[in-house]
Amino acid sequence: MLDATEQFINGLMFGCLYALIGGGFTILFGVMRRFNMAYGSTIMAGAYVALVPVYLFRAPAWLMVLTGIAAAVLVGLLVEFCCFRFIKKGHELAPLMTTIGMLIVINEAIVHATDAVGLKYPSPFGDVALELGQFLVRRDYLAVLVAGVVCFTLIFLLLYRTRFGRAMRAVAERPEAAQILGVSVRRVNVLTFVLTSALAGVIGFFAAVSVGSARPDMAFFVTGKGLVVMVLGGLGSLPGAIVGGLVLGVLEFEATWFLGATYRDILAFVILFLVLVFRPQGLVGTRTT
Amino acid sequence: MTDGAILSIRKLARHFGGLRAVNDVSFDVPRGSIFALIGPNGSGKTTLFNVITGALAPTAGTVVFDGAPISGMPTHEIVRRGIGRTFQNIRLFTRMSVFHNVWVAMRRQPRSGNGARSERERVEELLALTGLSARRDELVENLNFGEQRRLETARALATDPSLLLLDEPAAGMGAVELARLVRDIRRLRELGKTIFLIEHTMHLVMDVADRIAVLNFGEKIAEGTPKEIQADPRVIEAYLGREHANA
Amino acid sequence: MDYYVAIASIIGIHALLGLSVYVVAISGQMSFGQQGFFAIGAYLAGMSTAMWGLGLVPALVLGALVAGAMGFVVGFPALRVRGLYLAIATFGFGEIVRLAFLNVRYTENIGGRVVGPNGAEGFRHVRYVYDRGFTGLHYLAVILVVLVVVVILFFLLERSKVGAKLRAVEEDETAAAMIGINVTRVKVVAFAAAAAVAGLGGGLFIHYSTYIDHDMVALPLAIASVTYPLLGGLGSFVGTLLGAIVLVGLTEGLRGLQGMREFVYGGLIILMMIFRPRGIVDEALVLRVKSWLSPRAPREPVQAP
Repeated sequence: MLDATEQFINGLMFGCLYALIGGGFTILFGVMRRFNMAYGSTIMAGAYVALVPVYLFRAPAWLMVLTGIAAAVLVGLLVEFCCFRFIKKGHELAPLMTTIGMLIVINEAIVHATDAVGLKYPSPFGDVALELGQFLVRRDYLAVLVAGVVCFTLIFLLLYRTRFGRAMRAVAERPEAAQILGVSVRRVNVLTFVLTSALAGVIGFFAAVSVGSARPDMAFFVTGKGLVVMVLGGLGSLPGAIVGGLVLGVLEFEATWFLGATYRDILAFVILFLVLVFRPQGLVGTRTT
Repeated sequence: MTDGAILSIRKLARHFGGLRAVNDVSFDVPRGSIFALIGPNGSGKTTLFNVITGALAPTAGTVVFDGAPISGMPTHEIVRRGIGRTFQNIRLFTRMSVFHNVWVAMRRQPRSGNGARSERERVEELLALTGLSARRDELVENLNFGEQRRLETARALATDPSLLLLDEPAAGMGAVELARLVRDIRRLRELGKTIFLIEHTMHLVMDVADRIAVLNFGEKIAEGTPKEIQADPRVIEAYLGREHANA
Repeated sequence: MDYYVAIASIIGIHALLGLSVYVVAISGQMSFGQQGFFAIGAYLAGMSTAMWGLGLVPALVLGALVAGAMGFVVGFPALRVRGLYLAIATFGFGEIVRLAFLNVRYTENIGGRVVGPNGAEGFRHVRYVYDRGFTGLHYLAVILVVLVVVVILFFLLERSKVGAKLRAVEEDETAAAMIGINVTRVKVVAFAAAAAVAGLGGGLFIHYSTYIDHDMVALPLAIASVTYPLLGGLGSFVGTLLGAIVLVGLTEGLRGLQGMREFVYGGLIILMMIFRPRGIVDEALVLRVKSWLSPRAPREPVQAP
């Protein structure tokens, strides 16, 4: 029972990473009503580029994060420009396909640059587990928890305390009305990409740290988790994404404990399918952004 | 089967949360008539059509068509029983040709000996009836507005309805097209169809309808012949009065 | 020679996958789960010949039927949702199937070989075809015959009213219901048929490669199968065939350009969607070709400038 509780705590902390991934997908979907399949690649690009200063000199962790953010934002802007800006109206699936194209291109670029081998990631938070009372807690998971809390606090402040946030919410709820009120939808879209891509940089760093390496299949892994979290939260709900991320984290850790790692992923997708089909509004069931 | 009414609406209601889009509405559409439902914008006319065709479930009340209750049935079943419909904001299959729009809707007819015509012939007939024969291979997006409305009527007719619901058929039409529309509606009645239309354009309704019901804020406030409606003070207040004031 | 036979075989098999997505697409939905049906067809047909002693044809039919039945079972609940929701739901289904095969162990020792689905090891030694003296060329003929049969069925479907009904449902479900179409039934039947076609492709594949594992039916295969119809065009199944030929040909043909092919592939998808969002063979093109071919259609009078 003690171990199950320990799994619960670890799952909750790791779930913060899932929540961040789902949050990134969700913000973009909420504002643009479009799904960005290249988001996983953006995250992966951030994770890889963050390694560059480490190779050049012994860069501290914060510099890695900043480098990752910068790289991810550049990639995000590229995605917006190539995959969204020139799509004709009325073709719902076209952005889905263009971002898939982008996913292929970015992944290939990374495979090229690294010869498709995983790159070892530094562990700036140390490898020794932390003793919290009677529980053992991984330090990098604790860092993920802190990152999650900080990022979501910043995001909510941005959404509810700034003019840009108001404009974003306006566009998310009624794009036509927002346009009439003088909000530039184009500008909001671009800034949304900047915001979510910056988040992708953070996610990339922490995802790679918690796995111990940056690997070319990371984009697929992240996309899969992002989809599940988004669906659990009800597509387009940010609080939903947080809940969904934490639920998925706990579920996976408990499933690993009770059923073994092989059944963990099946469980995630079975839940995904059932929720989508029978409760498409998500677990929380609100549609706010 | 009541010979008089092809469609009977009884105490029909449809609410959206607190909004009573249609509330306690009852009337009969006489077989073979041209029946019009009028009312200001947002008075619940299209909602009523949506309930009749099964796109929306009624909150209360019943719809009886040809002697049988149809409320709660799926749309395709209601269509098979003989109700056809056009939409206010034309909803054609824009990626098909004119011919295919009608053909896809064509109901299979029981083989009836020597009188049977091929499906293609019947499509051509409907296109001829609506004056679209020359445009048969055109993509829908190349049709002008009036042609698109006529094609929608032809498509609805292909399901072989005995009752045809027209949702604001005159919207956006010029004088010439309007005259043609009046002629077409009358011709459809001569073919044995009952016509039930929603309309905004007052003079069209007064000109073409046998009987009119007036809806305001989801409730029926009057029903009668065009003469009676024109004289009804409540109608003048709710509808004509405003229109006259605007004019 | 063998190289071209191999490419042609892959094109044929992937064309079936593309056609499977195409059927779903022309009823207005996007599926990222056809690789799941492909896997079901592959594993089942493989077990049929390698373990249960069935012939190739019954094995392929069985694989297609079971995949189709699964399509029906999955489609009935899944088609309650649409658009992006369905795309994700179907992807979820595909992953469930993949992970299930990652865990299933059902093997026999036949002639010193471990035959059957063997978890992460995959399903090896489906040698029915080659054990009977078929060469790659012979088997290519088998693939092409199956493809031709399916294509003929598609051709009939396109011309039939069922095909038109699918397209009506794709464009506007409300309007489709209003002309008497049972929208749910049309969508579920289309989904089941699509699943069967994917299953058929899977059955052909495992007998071609003698081997399949869960990694081969993951997201990249889903993406590939979706790009064939979307790039080739949704106006006619010909577009899907074209898409499969061009894209598989490209990926294989550009092998010399070591690595550049993925860039070309991805870039091509992006450019196509920007400049021709309904693919190469779109509806307008189909209609134009038809009016050239049909002598009956009256020529439009030349308009005065």
